[in-house]
Amino acid sequence: MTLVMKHAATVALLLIPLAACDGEKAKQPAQAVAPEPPKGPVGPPTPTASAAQRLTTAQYRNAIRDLFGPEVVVPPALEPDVALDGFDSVGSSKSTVSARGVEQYEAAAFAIGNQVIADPKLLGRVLTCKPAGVTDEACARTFTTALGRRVFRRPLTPEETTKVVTVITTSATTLGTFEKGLPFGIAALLQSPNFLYRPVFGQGEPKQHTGFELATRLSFFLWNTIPDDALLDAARDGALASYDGVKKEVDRMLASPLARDGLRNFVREWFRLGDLDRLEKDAKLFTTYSVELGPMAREETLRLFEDLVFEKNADIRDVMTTRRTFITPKLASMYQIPAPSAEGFAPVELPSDSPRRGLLGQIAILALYAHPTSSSATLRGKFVREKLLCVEIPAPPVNVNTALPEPTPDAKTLRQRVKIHLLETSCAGCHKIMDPIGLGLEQFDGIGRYRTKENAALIDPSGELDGQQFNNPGELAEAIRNHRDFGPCIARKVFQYGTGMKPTQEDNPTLKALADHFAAAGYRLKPLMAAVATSPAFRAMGAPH
Amino acid sequence: MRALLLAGVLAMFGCSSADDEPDCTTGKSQAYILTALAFTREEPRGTAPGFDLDGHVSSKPEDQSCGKIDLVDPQGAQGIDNQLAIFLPEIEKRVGNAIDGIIQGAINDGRLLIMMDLSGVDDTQNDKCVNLQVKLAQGKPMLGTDGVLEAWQTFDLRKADQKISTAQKGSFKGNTFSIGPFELHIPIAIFDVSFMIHMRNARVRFTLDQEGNAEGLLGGGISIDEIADGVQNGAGVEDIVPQIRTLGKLASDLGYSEEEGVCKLLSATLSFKARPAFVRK
Repeated sequence: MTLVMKHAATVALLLIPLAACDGEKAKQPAQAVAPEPPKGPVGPPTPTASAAQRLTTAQYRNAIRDLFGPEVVVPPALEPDVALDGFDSVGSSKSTVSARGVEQYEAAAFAIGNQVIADPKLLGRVLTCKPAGVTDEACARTFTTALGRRVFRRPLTPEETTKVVTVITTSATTLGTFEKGLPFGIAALLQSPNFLYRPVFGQGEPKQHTGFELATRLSFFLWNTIPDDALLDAARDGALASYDGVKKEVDRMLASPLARDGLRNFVREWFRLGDLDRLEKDAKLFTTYSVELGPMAREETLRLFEDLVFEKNADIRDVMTTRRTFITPKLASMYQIPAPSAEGFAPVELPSDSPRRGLLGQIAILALYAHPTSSSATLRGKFVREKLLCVEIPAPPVNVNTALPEPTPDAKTLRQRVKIHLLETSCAGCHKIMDPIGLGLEQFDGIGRYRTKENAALIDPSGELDGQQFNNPGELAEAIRNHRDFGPCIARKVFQYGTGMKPTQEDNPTLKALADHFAAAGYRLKPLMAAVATSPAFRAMGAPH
Repeated sequence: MRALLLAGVLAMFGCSSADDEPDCTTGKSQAYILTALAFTREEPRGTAPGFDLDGHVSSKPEDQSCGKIDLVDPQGAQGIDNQLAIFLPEIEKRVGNAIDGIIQGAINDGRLLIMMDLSGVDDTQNDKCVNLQVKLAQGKPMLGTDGVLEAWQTFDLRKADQKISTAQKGSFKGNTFSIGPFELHIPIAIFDVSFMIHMRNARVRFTLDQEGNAEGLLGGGISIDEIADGVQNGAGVEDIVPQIRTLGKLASDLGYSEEEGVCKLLSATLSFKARPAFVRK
């Protein structure tokens, strides 16, 4: 039976047309689109480069959850994400699927299909008709039409529908019951490039995303999952053709609990917090480190962002300086403060004299941007430059020794050792813009515990960030919060995440307009996300890079 | 016999004069959770860590110490009352030498969470007015990869059998804290036995390191009769009572009764390590 199923699925996969996935058919970038209503849209209608993005693993899982229910277990092994320019969403525009990945998608599709069919509750969600017999083509068509619309995020063409219906009825005939044919139909849909990728063809001249393409773009940007029926209906009805129509849907989406998932995924990708699952620290040096600490610390950061954006609607730059955070008993012990609850996360205000403030006081950042055996002024400084201030740091030249000298009686602290390292002029150029920032965080060790000494020598956490002096990590956090590039960098990151493409020079006017809008809106993230989602550039479709 | 020893360990900690309010109210509070606890031993002969609990140096057999000769501590201090250190190897021959492991296991799994809560700490280098409360905590402690309770954990106070008491006017001198004597009593629950242990002339002394961790000694007189009586009332462990009483006769060196001509307390000292912690308010 397995052979029959796999064969049928393969046939189905081949039958479903592979759509052009990367927008290469758009020969010329669109020049301009019709002006949007004067009040709302932010930025010029410069088309952003476009490509068919493959669903990230998180998006795949979220899509399955929303298609079939949270009970469905997605196999853990899927084609891994590849980050590009710091974002999986950007990498998904460029990456291909390996042969192994194809097998994994096939296995996952059948595993999911079989789970759905095995549970009447799950099956009832997707099979709304009662089959009259083994080969009830009408019921198979009803099933395929309804499910296919959400899987492909657009209505299936008649040809696509017929091909899936044929797979279902043929399989059902072979296996003896209507229901036994359904996993083949589900598997065919879930292996289709129209599900695994987000094909974009655009329409009009200058080219814009179609309503369904825009719905998909909005949904993955704001929810990190597939569109719901309401959004697809809006696309079907042409409501997304206007700024007002898009704005209405965007406001609805940002008010949905799913928007929290979207924000969390953005922050997760922005800071590469997924890497906390694979954090490795020397267990002998860091006896309080455990494998649970990384995911726990990530959750702390994500909860803080959620709180600032959805509960407080606050100036998001406050993430650098806030004393508020969310901690477990374990994190409380790491921060040397009383645990507010006996288990789980609870909000807490760090003491006013605490050396920790905001993002740079959190273990997620301090431990992630450090070495397995030590802190790292370079990695932490690079994090600030690249992630928070949008400065690209080139990789070190291949012939340069990047290792710092070992501690000596004359150079006990990292600051002293970095000073020696910077005597090499080939290193100094880049390190001078990273290390002084990272040295400001040296009072936190390789897993983010507070310390005042290193190798028995007092740590000096003072420094300077682009002309702004700071004496401690708290003042460094303040300097970053008020840095002129911080707000625009956030706007850039949101735009990059939303479009799935690395901004180019042509995007500068859009980025400038978004940054100005962001500032005018009090640096609140929801208005920024709305501005990006409703911007003409988000709708406009250009050629791939 | 293991029960006896663990009871003895537990008896070293606890409460007395529960209603006494501290006199020294200025300064900060800082709690410590004991992360390690072990009986001290005589090594080399005639030397063991401890305290001069009776304020008297017994350099030769005499009635006051029931014929026991005091020890010298590793730093050379005379008059150390720590008779259990001498007899411990003999006890271990009978019950196995896993005693310290049993104690450590009880700490690590949360059955023996002992907190020392200091208040009125103005200066750990020099402070003559620091109070101590000894409390029992509860909860599932977090252990580091070194197998030791992590620092700065927050614990709830044990609700059942809790009786907090205070020892007053301890002092810090050069990061070393010392306090005592004070009376202790503590509820004990081992196996199916539950009883109260009293301890006399208890002393505490520890030194803080740069990380704020404490390491030091606890000593005092254990009432052998109380332990034996407590165990006597228990279910299924009555068979060790004769051994307890025999041990008492052989080892007791404190609390001499002129009327009876016997000592009723056994001097004992344990070494401990502790880390900063919080008490949930």
